[in-house]
Amino acid sequence: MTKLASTSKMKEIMGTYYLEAKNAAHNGLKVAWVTSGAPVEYLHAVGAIPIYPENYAAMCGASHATAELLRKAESLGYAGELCSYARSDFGAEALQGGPLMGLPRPDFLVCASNICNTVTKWYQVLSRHFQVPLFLVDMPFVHDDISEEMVAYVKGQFAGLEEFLAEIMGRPFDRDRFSEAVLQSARATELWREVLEMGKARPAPLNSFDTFIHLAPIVTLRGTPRAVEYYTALVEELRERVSRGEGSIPNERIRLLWDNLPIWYRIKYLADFLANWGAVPVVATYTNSWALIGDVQLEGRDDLAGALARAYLSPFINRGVRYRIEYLCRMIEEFSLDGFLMHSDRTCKPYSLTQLPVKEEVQRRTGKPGVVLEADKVDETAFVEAAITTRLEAFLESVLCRN
Amino acid sequence: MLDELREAAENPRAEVMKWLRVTGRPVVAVLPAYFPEPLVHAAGAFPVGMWGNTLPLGASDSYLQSFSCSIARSILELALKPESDFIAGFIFTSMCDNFETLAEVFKLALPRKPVFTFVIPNTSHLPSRRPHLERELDRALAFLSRVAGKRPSPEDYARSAKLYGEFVRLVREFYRHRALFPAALSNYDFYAVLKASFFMPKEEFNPRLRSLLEDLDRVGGEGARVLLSGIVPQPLSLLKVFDAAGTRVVGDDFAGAYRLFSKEPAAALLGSEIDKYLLSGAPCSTLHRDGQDRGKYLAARVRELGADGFVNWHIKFCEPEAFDRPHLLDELRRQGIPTLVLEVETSSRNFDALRTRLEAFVELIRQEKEKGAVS
Repeated sequence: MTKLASTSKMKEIMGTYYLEAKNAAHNGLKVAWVTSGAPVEYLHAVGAIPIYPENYAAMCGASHATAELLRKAESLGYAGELCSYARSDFGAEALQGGPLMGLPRPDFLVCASNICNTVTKWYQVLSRHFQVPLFLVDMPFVHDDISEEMVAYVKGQFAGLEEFLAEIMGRPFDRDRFSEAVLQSARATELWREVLEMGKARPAPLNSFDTFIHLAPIVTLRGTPRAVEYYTALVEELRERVSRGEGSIPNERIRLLWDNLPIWYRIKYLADFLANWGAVPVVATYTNSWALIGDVQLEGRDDLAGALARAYLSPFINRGVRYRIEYLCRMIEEFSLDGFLMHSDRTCKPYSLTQLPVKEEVQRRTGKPGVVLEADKVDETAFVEAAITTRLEAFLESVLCRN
Repeated sequence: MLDELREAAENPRAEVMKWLRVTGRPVVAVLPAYFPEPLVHAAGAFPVGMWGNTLPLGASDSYLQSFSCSIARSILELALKPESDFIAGFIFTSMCDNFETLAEVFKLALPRKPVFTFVIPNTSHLPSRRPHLERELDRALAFLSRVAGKRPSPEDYARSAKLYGEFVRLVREFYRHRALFPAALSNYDFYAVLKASFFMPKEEFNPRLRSLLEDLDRVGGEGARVLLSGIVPQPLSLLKVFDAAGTRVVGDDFAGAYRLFSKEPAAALLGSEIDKYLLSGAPCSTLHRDGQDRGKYLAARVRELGADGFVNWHIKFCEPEAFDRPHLLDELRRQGIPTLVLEVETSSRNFDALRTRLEAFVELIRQEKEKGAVS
């Protein structure tokens, strides 16, 4: 992992964020559990604290705390083929487990299906368990292009979300606070995009494994000034590294793309393994999702709801194969890649189930080789080290031969 | 009549080809779940339900990983066969991630075949549903116009709606008869009849079912009365195990059976009517409704039907069903209803282990009944 000064700062702000959430009730504040692609700007407008169970599940995965949580979920009757984030969440709630010993109870739930349909089922379970109101924003899968009709559908639901929030919080929806939150969101996502674009530099000052770690603030603090401050500092640090020609690894010779979610419990292992080959992933489809929100030019727009609707429909995981193929080909070119890695996450159907034919097509169009690595984002039992390393070695050999 | 319908269920391709020859209508495959099928009929096409099959998986392996649900995999397997080339188009809905991505995989695996995904509104904001459905209806009609060569007029649709109204009335009568006289047909035959409806035009199915209903015995019969629940009763042959174990299936909660047939066809070509259609009938794991409790619903169904037990027919790896299952089972058990979960894949052939568990379940039910009779 690249030694970045910003990392300790990030741990600090994430710590503060969770502490505030845990103390919310004491301070007369309300907590909402929300999905990672939720239009959180609406929550900031009413002063609710958003908590992201997905972020906590990633944290549990990275701290090797997941196994116990998954066993608990299984004992509650949740099948092993279900999303491991959801199972981790159910187990953490039942055991009050994981590094933070459970999450603060939600007062309400906001679920946006732009990342998958699974979250709808996950949040239905939460709604029954906590007996709190759930607002489900239906953000359809974009099979072709984001149409005006689709934007209108989502926009209409945003209006409903405003009413829902005003009622829950017992005060009118604050349009000024909302505009401010959108502005902060726009700035943070713009900065995040700049962070990710640094991967184009040769050598790249940071790699995708680093971006998985530094993702936390754009997910959880998007819409607040803290995310803007954080990424401003990170961009500064990275610019300095670029000007010094300092790469994330000393001998960068194989540049790659990472598709799908991280393998949270093996980030360091994979980073080191690849680094030994001079290989490094410099761009990832997953981290780009929050940058795509920034793509929509939120700042200075009259129709904020429409702009947000379009932005939140954009994430990679919500797009069809034509988009995915073109996107991967474009990244290969813009980031000067030698090949691509596809993590086939066995419990993330929307991300994984198009990978096989997409891989073939991208290889055909770009001439660059890809490799599929079968695992899971947080379930360690799905990771077979020998299988992964064998595949990676063969892949890296073939990349070197071509070069 | 029964033989003919059973034959249709057991040889779907031959059945579909027969009606294709007779009617000359383009075949449009309607995939899970809840696309308003009368629209396909009104466009002058022959809608054929594709809810999975028992093909061994081979060609589909290079397109879908093994953790895809077996229904999706088997559908792709079938669609990839050259013999399926006569299918003019495929209609999906947004019901789950597996099928959303399957629609995309189709675009790469079968690039010449028109594919459409109907977006079912799963939202907490009810006022957003109708305007959305109005637009989806427009999109669906444009697709059907392309694939079937005709955009249905309101009059075309009215005729189709009437036909499908008759269809669901007959099917519900069939279910009512089942609950009262479960020994009239074997479990296998009951579901074979329902399955046949996916492979023939409703104009042909309706009179056949009507005729069958007239001939059915009114025989109660002994045996453990069970309510089945799951996404679809595949593979059909598993029902023979239910017969052999001495169970009487008195009703079901399958998305590809009762949940589908319990819905009232949209009365007109309007988004508001499609909305009513989607909101009608039994709740489903794939249709979100704020405050819905399928556990309580199923417990009530068990009581209404006088069922002795509940069997969850779990197809690997159906996600919406698997998320609902723990709550369903908890609620049913809380209400003192015996439950059993049977796990299968569409290509499963060996049911020995399932048979043993089902027999044990039937024995458990018999003991419960005896206890009840004594006390």
